[in-house]
Amino acid sequence: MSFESQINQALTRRAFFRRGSISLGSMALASLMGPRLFGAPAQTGVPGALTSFHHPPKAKRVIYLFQSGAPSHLDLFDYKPKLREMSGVDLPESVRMGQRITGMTSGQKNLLCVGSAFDFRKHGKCGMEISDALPHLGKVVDEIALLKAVHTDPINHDPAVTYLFSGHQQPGRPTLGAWASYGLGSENSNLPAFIVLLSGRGGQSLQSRYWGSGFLPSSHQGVQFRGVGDPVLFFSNPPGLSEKARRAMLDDVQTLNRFQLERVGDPEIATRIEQYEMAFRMQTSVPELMDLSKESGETLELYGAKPGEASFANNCLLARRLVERGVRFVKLIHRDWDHHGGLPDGIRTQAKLTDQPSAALIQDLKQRGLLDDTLVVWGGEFGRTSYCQGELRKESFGRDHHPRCYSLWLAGGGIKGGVTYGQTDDLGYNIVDGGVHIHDLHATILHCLGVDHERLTYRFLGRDFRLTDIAGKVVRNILA
Amino acid sequence: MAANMPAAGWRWRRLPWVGLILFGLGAGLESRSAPVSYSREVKPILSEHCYACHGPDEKTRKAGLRLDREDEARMALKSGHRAVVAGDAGASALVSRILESDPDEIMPPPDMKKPLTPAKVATLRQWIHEGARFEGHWAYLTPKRPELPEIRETGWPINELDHFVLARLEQEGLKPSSPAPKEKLLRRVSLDLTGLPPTVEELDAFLADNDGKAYEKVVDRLLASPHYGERMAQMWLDLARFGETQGYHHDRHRDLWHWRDWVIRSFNENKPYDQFTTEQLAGDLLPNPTRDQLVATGFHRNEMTTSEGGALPEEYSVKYVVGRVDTTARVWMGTSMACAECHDHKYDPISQKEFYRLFAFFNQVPENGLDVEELNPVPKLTLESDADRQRLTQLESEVSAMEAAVKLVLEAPQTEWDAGQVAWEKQHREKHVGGWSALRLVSSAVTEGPTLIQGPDQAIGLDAKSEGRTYELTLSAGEGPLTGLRLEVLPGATGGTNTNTNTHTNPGADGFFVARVDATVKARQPDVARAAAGKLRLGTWHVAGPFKAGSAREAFDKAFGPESALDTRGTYEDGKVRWEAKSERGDGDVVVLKGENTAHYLFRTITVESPQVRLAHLGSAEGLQVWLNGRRVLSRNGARALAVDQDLVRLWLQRGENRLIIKATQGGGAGGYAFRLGSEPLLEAPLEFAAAAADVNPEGRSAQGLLDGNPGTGWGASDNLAHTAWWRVHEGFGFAGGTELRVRLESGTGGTAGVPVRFRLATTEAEALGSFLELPEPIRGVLLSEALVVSEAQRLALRKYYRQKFISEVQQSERLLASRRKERDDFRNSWASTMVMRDVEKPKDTFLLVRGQYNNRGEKVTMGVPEQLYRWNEAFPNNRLGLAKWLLDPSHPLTSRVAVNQYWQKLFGTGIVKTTEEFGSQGDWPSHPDLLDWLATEFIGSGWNIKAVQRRIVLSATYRQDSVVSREALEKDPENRLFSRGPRFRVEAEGVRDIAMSVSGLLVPKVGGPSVFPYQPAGLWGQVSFEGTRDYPQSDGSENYRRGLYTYWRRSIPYASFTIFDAPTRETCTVRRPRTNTPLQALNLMNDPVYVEAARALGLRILKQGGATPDSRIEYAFRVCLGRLPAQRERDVLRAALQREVGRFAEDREAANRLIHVGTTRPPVDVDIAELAAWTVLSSTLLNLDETINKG
Repeated sequence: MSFESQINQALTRRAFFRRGSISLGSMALASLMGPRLFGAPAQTGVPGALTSFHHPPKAKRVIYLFQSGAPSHLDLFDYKPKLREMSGVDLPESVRMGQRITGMTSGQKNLLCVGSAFDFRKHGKCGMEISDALPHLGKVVDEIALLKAVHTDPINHDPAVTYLFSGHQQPGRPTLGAWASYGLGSENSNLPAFIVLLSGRGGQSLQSRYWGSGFLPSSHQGVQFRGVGDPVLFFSNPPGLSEKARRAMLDDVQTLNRFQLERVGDPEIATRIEQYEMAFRMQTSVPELMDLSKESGETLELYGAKPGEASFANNCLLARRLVERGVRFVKLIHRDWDHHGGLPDGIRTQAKLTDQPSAALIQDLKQRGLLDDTLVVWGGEFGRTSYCQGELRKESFGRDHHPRCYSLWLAGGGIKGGVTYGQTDDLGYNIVDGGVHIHDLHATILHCLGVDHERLTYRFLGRDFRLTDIAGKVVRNILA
Repeated sequence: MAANMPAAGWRWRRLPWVGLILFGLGAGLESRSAPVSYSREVKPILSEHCYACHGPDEKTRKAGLRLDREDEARMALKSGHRAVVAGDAGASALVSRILESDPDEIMPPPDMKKPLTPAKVATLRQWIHEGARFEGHWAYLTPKRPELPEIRETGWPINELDHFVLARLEQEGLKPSSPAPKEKLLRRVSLDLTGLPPTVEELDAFLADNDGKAYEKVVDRLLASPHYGERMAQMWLDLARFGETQGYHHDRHRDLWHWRDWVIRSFNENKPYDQFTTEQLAGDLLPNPTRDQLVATGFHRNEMTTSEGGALPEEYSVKYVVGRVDTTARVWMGTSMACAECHDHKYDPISQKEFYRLFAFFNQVPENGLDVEELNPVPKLTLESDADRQRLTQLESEVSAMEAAVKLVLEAPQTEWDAGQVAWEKQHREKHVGGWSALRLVSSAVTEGPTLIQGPDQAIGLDAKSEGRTYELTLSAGEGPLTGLRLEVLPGATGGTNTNTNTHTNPGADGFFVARVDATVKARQPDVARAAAGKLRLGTWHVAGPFKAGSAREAFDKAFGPESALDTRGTYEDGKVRWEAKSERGDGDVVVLKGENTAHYLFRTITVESPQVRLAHLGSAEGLQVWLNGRRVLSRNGARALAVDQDLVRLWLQRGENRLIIKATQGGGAGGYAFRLGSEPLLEAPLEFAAAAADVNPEGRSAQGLLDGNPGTGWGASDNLAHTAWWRVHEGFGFAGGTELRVRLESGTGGTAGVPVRFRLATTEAEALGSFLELPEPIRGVLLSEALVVSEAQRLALRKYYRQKFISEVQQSERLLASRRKERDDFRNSWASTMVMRDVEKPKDTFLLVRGQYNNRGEKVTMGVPEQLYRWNEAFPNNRLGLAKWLLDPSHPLTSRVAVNQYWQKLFGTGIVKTTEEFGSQGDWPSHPDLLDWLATEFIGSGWNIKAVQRRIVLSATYRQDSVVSREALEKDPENRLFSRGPRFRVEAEGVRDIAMSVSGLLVPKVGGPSVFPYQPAGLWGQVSFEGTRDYPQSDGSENYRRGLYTYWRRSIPYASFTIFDAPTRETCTVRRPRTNTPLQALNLMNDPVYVEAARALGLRILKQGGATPDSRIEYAFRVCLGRLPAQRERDVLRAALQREVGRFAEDREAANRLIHVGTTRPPVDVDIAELAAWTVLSSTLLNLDETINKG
C-alpha cells in the first residue's frame, strides 16, 4: 500500500467534520480508556471521541423540540385547581418566600394569582392530565414521560437558554448537541451530526451560541438547515454552473490536490480531498432529503406540514427524515412562547403551530419503528409565574418568568411512556417532590445515549469539562 | 498528541505502556531508568488525581493532607501516617493507598472515576524511591536565560533558537528538513507577517535578489508594511473578545472600532509590549493621559453587556467584572482563574479570596449593569477635533446670549401683556368653583370599620373614628355628559346626626392619604339607557396603504400622513397612496393585508344618536393601533395569528359622528386586522381618567399619583385643612335615566394616614375643566392661592407661564433659542465616541462573593494579586496601573512566556506550550522549555520589542525549513511539536477571504476605519434577531472588498463564512482557534458569491495581464495564487480544463453570462464572455486548492 493510500484509508474513517491539528486522539485516549464492552458508538459513519459506550444505549439519536420563550407549565401541563380558586388573590408570602422575581414584576403593586385559562382533562391509558390547549398531545400521552418539577438557575431568557443547552449561564461552553456529536460522532458520513431547524418569527432573539460548540472544535457546532431556499448555506452551485460542470471542476481540484499531497505528504490534504467529495455528495443528497413533497398526503396531513413553508410542522417532519438518515442530534427551535401579556391568546396561537406536529412526530416515529431508539424532548427554558403580570382580566393576562419549576416531556429511546414524575405545590410555584435540575436532564439524555455524563469530558483551560459541570443525576424513574 | 496520527494506529496501542506515551513528547522517549522529574511527571499526576481533595482548596481538603506542598505532604497526619516518606515507598501512605484493593480504602476513591494507570503508579513509586523531591511549578518560577545547548550539526543554526530546536531533534534521532524553496518561504512569511500573499512583482524581486540578506530584507519590508499591524491585530481581537455588539440577548450595536484602529496602529508603530499592555489595562490612570491612551482602555470594554428586560443590574455588573478578571488572566498570564470565582483553585495556588482581590481592580468602573443607552454605554470618550471644540464654544456663547435676551422678554414688566394676564387669571379662578353638583351617597362600605353617613351639606363622613383604609361608595349622579369628578377633603366634624364625639375630624398631624381612585359608571335604569342609545350607523371602511418603512418597528412608530391629518380625499406619499372605499367589507371580517414592513390605515365613522359606550373586538397579525376621535385607545405590537377578539376596547361614542382610525402594521409576511363592534351598548364601564390635579401637592405627593396604580404614590396632606382634587375623564359620561357612580378610595402604602374621614364628592358637566386641569401644577397652585400670600418667585413663574402660552413674540424668541440649543446639542451628539475604562472617584468596596453568587457577600477584600504566582511590590499603586506594573515586572514568571508563546503559536500553529491558554499545573509541559525561556528573556531584554522577537523567529533556520513531511517524520513527530519541518496549516477564516480578495485584485487595502458589512446570504439576521436589528445593513461598493479584519462582528450571529472556517463568536477571550476541515468549507469556497465573484475578477486579471497564450496565462495564474510556477502535470490539467470550459461556454453563452455576473461588481464589456467564464471556473479551481488556503 502506498504511503498516500495508507494515509487516505486511515483518514476517511474519521474524515467528516474531522478536527484538524488539535489533538482529539490524545484526549480520547487519555480520558476514555474503558474496555470495549459494547462496541464502538458508530458502526458506520464517523466515530466520535468515545471509543466505546459506557453502557448499552437505548437511544441512538435525539430530537429536541425547544420551545423558546418559555411556555407556561400552568396552562399546558400542570393543572392547579387551587390556583383558579385563588385567582385575583395576592400570592401568599408563605409560597413566595421572598424568592427572587424579575425586574418586570418586582415593581408590581401586587402579585395576584391567576388560574389557567384552559381546562384540563385526562388522556390515554395512563390518565395523564393535559391542557385542552394541546388536544393532539393528549393522543400520545402513553408514549411520553412528563416531568413536572424541572428547575433551572437563571431567571431571564438569554442566560436560561444558554444554561439549558450548555449547563452554564456564561457563554463559552459546548451545547448538548455538540457534546453528542463530539462523543458519539455521526451515523451518516454525508450529513452533519448536529442539525438545527428554526421556526417562528416573533419572540425572543436567538444567539448562535445556543447551538454552538463552545470550546469543542467548531466542527461540532449545530449546522442550520433551512426549509426554504438553500437548505445549507452556500449549497447551490453558482448560476451558469451545472452539476456536470461542477463535477468536472471538482475533479480538477481533486487532481491538483492529489499532486500536492504527493509532493508535501501532509495528511490534512487527504482530508480536504475527502471533504470536497462529501460536499459534492451532500449537494446531490440533501435536496432529496429536504423535499417534503415526496411524503405521502397522509403524512403531510398528520403533521399539518405544507411543502415549501418554514414552519414548525415542516421542521418536525424534516427532523424525522434526518434521524431516519442517522443524524445524531436534531434541534428544533420554535420562537414566541414569551407570554408576559395576552397569554391565553398567545398560548392558543403557539399551540396551534406546535401541538399537532409534536404529537405527529411521536406517532410517525412509532409507526416507523424509530421511536424505540430516538429520544424526543419537548420544553422551554423555564416556567411561568402563578401570579399575573400586568392587568388581570378574565380574557387576558400575562405571566412572568419562573425558573423554580416547570414541565417538560420526553419520549422514545429509553424513556418509559405514560409516566408523570415530580410534583409542584398547589399553586404550581415551588417543587414539592421529584425535582429535576437541568443538569439532571442532561445526565438523563446522555444516559439514554449510552453515555455516563461524568465520563464524557474535554480538557480545556486545564480542566476536564463536562456538560453537567459537577452535578447531574440520571432521572431513573422515567427510564424504561 | 496523536491528532495527526492515523486513527488505526493509535487504537492498537493499549495498556500498559500507553501511559508512557501520554506524558507527551516531553517524556516520550526517555527510558524509565532516568530519574523522575517532579514538575514534568509527578506533579501532573498529583494534580490530576489527588489535588481535588489534597490540593490548594482548603474547603474540600480531606484528612488534612495537602500534596502540593512539600512540608505538608511529608508531615505526620492525624492518623499517624505520613503520605510521603522520602526514599521509602513502603512507608509512604500515598503508595500504600493507591495500591489498596479494598474499594473503601483505595485512592483515588472509585467514585472520582479517575483511576491511576499502572504507569502512573510506577512513576509515583519511583519518585518516592528517588527521594521525593518537590520543586515549584515551572511556569511560576522566573525564567532564567539558558545556555545554548550542545549540538552536533553546528552548520545548521542561523540563530540561537535553532540550537534549542536542533538539540532536541538530535536527541530524538531526527534531522531537520531542508530549507524551503524561495517561493514557498516568501509566501509563508508574507502570509504570516501581513496575512496577504506576495504579489508577482514581490516574487520576481525576491527570486532575482541573490544577496545573502535577500530574505532578511523581505522580512524587514513585511514588518514595515501597514498590513503587519492588521495581521497582528486580528490575533489580538480574539484575545480581547472584540465584537461590536452587546453579546447578550438583544445584541445591539456599539462602536469600538476606534480601539481596533489603536491596536493596528500600535502594532505598526511597534509599540513595546509593556506599553501596549499598560495603556490597555490602565491608560486612564497614567499621568495626563493622551486621547490615544484613553482609547486603548477600550480593551476591557469589549466585555459583553445586556439590556434584557427583567435582568438585575447588580447581577450583571458582577458578570462584567468577572469577565475582565478572567480575560486578563488568560491573555497575560495564560491562566484560567474562572474556577476561583466560586472556590479556591483546585490545582493552582489561587485562592477564592485572591480572585476577588483581582476583581477589586476592575470593580471601580462607573458603568451600568444594564446597558440602557442607545449606542455606547458609559464610561465613554468623545472623539472631537480641536476645530469641533472651537465650534462648540462658539455655539455655546450664542446660546448664552440668546438666553439672556429671552430672560428679559419673559420677566420684565410690560404693561399691555400684564393687563392681559390679570384678565386671564380672573377667568381661571372663577372656573374651578362653578358648575359642580355634589353627589348623593346611596350606600357605602369601609374595610375593617363602620359605615359612612352623609350630612345635610352632602359631606360624607365616618360615624366613628376608624382605621378604614378603603371606602367603596355608591353615589347617584345625573344623566351627563359628565366631564369631571371632584373630591373635597373637609375639616371638622361630619355634621351628621351622630355628634357624641368630637373625634370625627381628619386626624390631626397625620392628615390623609389617597393612593388610588377607581370609578365605575353604571346605568341606574338599564332599560331607559338602552332605549335612549338608539340606532348606530357604521360608515363605509376606507383604506389607505401600503405605507412603506425600513422595518416593522418603523412602520409601527412612524406617523404617516393619515395619522397626522385625516382627510379621506387627500393623497399621500407623492400621490402614490390614496383612500379607497371598501364597501364590501363588513363588520367582523378578518382582512389580510400584504407588503413587508408596511402600514395600512383604515377609517370609518360611527354615528350614534346619544352618547354611549360600545365594546370593539379587534384583532391583528402584527402591529395594531386604534384612534377614536383623535385619541389613541389601543396600541400593541408583535406578531400573532390573526383572529377577531384578540383585543377588546371600550369605545366612548359621542353624540353624532365619531371617527375611528385603525393602523395595521407588519414586518415580513402577510398582515391584517379584524374589527367587530359589540351589538349592545355597555351599561357599565370603568372610567378612564385623563388628568388629575389638586390644590396642594406637598412633599412630592401629587394628584397625578392617583392615576398610576402604584400604592406608594398618591395625593394627601398632613394638615387638617380643606383640600380639593379634580379628575377629568377623556370623554363625557352618563346614562339616560341617571347614572350610578361607584367610587373606590384606597389609602395604599404611601402614607401613614388613612383616607379622609370627611369629604364631599361632586361632578361637573363643564367643558372648561379640561383647560384648568391641564395647567402645570405650580401654576394652578398659584392661581388657586388668591387669598394667600404669593411669593415673588411664584408671581414670576405665573408671568412666564402666561407669556409663554399667549404672547407670540415670546413664543417666537423661545423657538429661536430652542433651535439654537438643538443645533448645539446635535453638534455635540454628532461626535464619535468610544467606550473606555475609568475609575470611580471614591473606591467601591469589594467583597468575596460566596459560591460566586452576586448577592451573597462574604468578607470584604482589598485590591491584590495571587501572591504565589508572583509577589506584589508595595511600591505599585493600588489600582489597575499597579496591576499592569505587577504583570510587567521583568521577574514576573508568566507575562513574557505567555506572550512569546502566543507569537510562536501564530507562526508554527502550536505553541511551545501547546495549551496556550493554560500554563498552570493542568497545562501541557512545554515541548522546548529552554527555548521558551530563552525567547522570554530575550523579549524582556529587548525592551518588550514585539517585531524584534518575531523577526528573530522568522529568520531562524527552524522557520525556514521546508514543510514537506516524510513518512518517518510523520510517525515520529505527527504534530510537528519538535519542529522537524516548516509550519504548514490552513490560514484563519479572515485569511481565507483576504487571499481571495488579494489575488483577484478586488481587495481595497485601506487600513483602519469603521467596520464594513460585506454581502452575505439574505435573511440570516432576521431569523434570530429582535425587531430593529433584523436587517443586515449591507455595505456599498468598495466596502465589500476590505480585509476580513474589518468585517462587522455581531456576536450572536457572526459573518457566516467566518464561522464556517472556525472563527470564534468572540463572546469570551479566545487564545487558540480550532482548525477543522469540513465539507461546509468546501461549499463555502465553491459557491459563496464572494468567492465566485473573486474567481471572475481573478479570471479577468489573468486574461488582461497573463499574456496571450493559455500557457502564459496558466503560469501567471499559478504565480498569483500560489507564488510559484506550475509543474508540467499541473499545466496539463489546467490546459485541458480550459479547453473544456471554453467549449462548454461557447455553446452555452447564457450560462457564461450568468456566471460572470455574480457579485456586486460588473464584468467589462470588451472581453469574450465564454473565455471569461472559462477562466472564472479555472480561477475558482485555483481558489479552492488546499495549497491556496494553506501557508507553507
